[in-house]
Amino acid sequence: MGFNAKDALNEFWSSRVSKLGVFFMVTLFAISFYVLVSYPSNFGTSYWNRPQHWADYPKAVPPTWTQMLTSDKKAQHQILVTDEVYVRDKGIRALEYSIRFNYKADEYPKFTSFSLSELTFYDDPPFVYLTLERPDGTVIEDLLFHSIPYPSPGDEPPFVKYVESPLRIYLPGSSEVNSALSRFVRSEYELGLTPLDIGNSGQEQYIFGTPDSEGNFDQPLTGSYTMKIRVETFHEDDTVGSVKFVVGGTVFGYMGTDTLGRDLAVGLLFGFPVALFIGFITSTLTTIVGSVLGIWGGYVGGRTDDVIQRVSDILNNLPQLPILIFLVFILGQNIWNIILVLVFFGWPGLTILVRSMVLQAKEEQFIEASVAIGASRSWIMARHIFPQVAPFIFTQMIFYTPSAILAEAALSFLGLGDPSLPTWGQILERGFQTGAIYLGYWWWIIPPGLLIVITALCFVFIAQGLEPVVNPRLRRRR
Amino acid sequence: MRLGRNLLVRGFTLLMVVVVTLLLMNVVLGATGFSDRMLNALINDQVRIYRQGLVQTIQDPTELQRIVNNYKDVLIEAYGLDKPWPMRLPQMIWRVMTFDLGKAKNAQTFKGSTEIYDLIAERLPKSILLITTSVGISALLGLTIGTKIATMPGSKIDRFFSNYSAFSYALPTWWTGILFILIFAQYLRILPPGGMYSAPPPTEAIPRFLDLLFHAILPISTLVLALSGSWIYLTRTMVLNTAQQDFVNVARAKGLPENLVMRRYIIRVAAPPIITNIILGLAGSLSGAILTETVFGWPGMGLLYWNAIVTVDEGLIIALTFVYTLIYVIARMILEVLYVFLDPRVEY
Amino acid sequence: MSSIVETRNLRMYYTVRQGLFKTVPVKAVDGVSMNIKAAETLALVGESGCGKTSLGRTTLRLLEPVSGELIFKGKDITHDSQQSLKWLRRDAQIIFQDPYSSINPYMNIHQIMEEPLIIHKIEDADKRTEMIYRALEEVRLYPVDEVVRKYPHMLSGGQRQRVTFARALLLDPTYIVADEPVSMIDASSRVELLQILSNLQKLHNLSILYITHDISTAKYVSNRLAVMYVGKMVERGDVLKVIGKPLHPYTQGLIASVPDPDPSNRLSYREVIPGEPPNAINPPAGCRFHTRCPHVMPICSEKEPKLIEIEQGQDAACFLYHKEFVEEEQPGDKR
Repeated sequence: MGFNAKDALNEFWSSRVSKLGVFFMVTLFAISFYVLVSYPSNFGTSYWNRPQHWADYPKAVPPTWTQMLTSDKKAQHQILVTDEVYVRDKGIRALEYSIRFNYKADEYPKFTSFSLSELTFYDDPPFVYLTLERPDGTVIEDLLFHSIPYPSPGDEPPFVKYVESPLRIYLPGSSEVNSALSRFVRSEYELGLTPLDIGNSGQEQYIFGTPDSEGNFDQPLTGSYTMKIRVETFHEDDTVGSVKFVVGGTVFGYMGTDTLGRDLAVGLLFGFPVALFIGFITSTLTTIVGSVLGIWGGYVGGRTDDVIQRVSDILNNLPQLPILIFLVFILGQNIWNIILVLVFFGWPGLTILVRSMVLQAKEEQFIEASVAIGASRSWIMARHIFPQVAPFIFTQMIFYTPSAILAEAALSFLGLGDPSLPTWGQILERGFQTGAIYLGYWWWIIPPGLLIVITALCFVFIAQGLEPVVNPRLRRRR
Repeated sequence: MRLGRNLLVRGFTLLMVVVVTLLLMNVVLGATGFSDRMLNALINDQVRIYRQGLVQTIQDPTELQRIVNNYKDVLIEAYGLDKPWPMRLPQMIWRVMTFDLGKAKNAQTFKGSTEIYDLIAERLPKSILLITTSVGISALLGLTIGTKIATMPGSKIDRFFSNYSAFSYALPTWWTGILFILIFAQYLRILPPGGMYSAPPPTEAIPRFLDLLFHAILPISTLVLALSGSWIYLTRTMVLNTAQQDFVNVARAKGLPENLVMRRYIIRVAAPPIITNIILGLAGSLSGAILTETVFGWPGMGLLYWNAIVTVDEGLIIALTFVYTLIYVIARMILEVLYVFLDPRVEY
Repeated sequence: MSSIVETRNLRMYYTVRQGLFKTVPVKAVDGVSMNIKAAETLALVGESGCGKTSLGRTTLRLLEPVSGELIFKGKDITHDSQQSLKWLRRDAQIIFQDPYSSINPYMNIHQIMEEPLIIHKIEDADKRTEMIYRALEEVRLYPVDEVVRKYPHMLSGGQRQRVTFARALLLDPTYIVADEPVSMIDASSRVELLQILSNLQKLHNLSILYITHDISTAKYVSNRLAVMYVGKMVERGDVLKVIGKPLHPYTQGLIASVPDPDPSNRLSYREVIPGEPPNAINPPAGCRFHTRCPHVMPICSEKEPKLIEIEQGQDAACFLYHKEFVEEEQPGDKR
């Protein structure tokens, strides 16, 4: 086919929208390819949906570049890990770690946390002490004290803990830290603040700040801090794998985080290939089923046609969304179920259109000529009918892709998405459910929706560009 | 009457739609074992209540157990659990079709009834209010703007609206709603973020009405944004196509004034397919309203459906799916009848 | 010579819906017995709707007869299944009227010509190409290697029609139905096309059913001429005899209505057959032409005349020639 394939291409290319569409499409594919290559396939279940993976991240903070919109310097998120240990043997044996970091911001961190992984001990469980040295020389002694719990009765040494999941202490949740801070501000600044006061107004002010003349801790102390970690052990063979200190930033990443601390940039990226996958598979399957049935019914006529017509008429008249919801609800939230159901609803529309085109196409005299020379029905359908309707079918296929993507997004938004495969719709669903809108977390709400719109638009543009190619009446040049 | 016959055929098709839906739902429920589980849960619930009632009066545990078991067997037989699910189909279909819809698990009407029938009766009008208003406004916009820009094809306004309709196709309605809430309710704080009335709602008629209006602006705007895009474009296309036909040129050549040509020759002819699409859209936006109501917390059937999903209330979901299908089918049927009056060429 | 194609009382009706529930048969071919011998061209003439096109297609089993017999090369093929008739699709071909729609505009000439060869399992691509080139040369479409690469819209109507001729010849058929092959061709190209058709017939010993509504071209290509009216054959015979001395009043009217190119005769009165042809759903009783016949007699509205030999090599179906009913008039007197 393609008696003027070159003309067709020129025609397509001549409009601005087509170029835009193709440009977007190429970008989408490039990003999807990158994601497919660099992300594991079980991303959804092993990473995205496992809260422990995101434990060290700040929760619900905007992206780092929002910093440029305000004059305040935001707190950067810092995850500081070290395994360089200094073993002190004199006196009480201790494993000492030292983490140095810089803090430069006009506001306080969102939280701090301490973790310890891979502890092996042989005797009594160790004690952990944290001491913070601040840039102005002040030192918060024993900011955190934690005694590792005793092993369960019946266990034998060596006792190995914190291998799969580390010991994690979230400082704002610890009343002992509040007490330590209360002592600190009393001794250092002669301020009488109870641990309760400290807990209520936010620990971070006191950890990282100094009071002004009125006793307000408005400005953080910028400069170099050193966190000293001491693990007092009771056996010479006790070891620790690594220690970590997290300074929770008030901004994070390219796209911010959600309430679970998930890096939205990562989640959004993963959505690219998923969206394309859903769109293409659904539209391809729908197109195949729809056009085969349309061509067959339209050409063969008779009882077959009647049956196909009745069925597609009935299916076409079903209200889509409620039944879609029902089926996914009952059959299970699985991407293949969703695709199947979307195809199930999609094909009748195409069949009806294709059939009416075929009814006209089969009246052409060259069809009769082919019958006269002995062509079988399938020959004629494939060689003579199909080329006539092919351009239309192809355009429809492009047009269906965004519908499929939008439909999946709507299902996900209602909570019926496939949980093992994060999509943009699901990200929005989480946002909606946790009230992100009412809390003003725009970075969570706007990007996923925008991506959906852009993706859908690029297909619409391409389909619009293809229209004059398929429908000669609309051509601009000829 | 030939028309009568064709309407009957259409009516039959639509009836089949309802039947097929019910069949589909019930087959799916049966084949996946869902209905068995549901009925079991229902029966166990009732048995438990029965047992609690009896415990007061009957002391002997074995006697108690015997009576309870009896009761359970009676229930099992009544619900047909003793038969395989295909045999339960006719009964289930009959029950739903006669509106014996049962009770909801977690939802209540304003007056406290959990009967699904009451719930639907309470919620449906609110959905209809939302949808018909939005559809009405969109249709109006579509018709007026569409015909206007059809008179100036290729102009900037024309191209603007063409792009606008492409854009509104790609825009998910529910996201637009969320965006509106973010902008107008969160940042600008000039409109409420959801619900139908303030809490507590005003009691006098006019303030109450204004309050309703106030709450309805955002959801209606969201729906209008989504619907009007395609309708403006559709109207424009249909009017343009008709305007290019020869009989219009003849009318002009005869010297008829332009607005007469417009009204009688162009719009009158282009109207039927446009109106078809609008009414089709109305039926379709019923489903789409599920999303809008969810986003805005508008207490209509859509929100009820959303609640049913979230609380896994199977009985409610089935009942609502059925009601949605029914409404859709009725709307379509009205369309078919109306269409006959609008287009004298209808012959099928 | 025995006949290649023979029909005996062949009837072909198609159904049409009338009103809400009724379907009625349209009696397109209503009892036609005829034959075509080897290497002979039979021209089939009549008004639009007389059934000539339907008859042609029925002889190929492209339309199904409702009764009667169809015999091809001595074999009764009336009831054979379509599956078993694949050989017929090689041996009998059809040429259509409209060169603009009878070949697929999406394929080039080579692909169009290749189609019948592929369907009939000529596997070797080179052999196919050779056959295609030969066929195109026979219809004088030069230069052949350029033509095969072209698409139909690049050729003129006459050239396209030659392609259809060539395609019909590819499988070396015995019988060709030519359904008004030059009706949609410019008058200036017609003669050349008809010449090609005659040459092809002589070269390949073809039997041709030449369907046309234009008698003047019939004279040019055919041996015998048959005239149809509302589903029935009313006259048949040697072409020169039928045209020179038409027996049936309808034939007489047809010939009289052919425009006379001689300008000096431009003012002479030409007889026009009055009225409209009746519809084939409900043909008139008796002789179908009786409602418009200038020589109508009472018997004509009661009984149907049979098609019988009236003179040597010329048959007619008219009571005028059944001696019992002849009064004083002699055939052809009115002229």
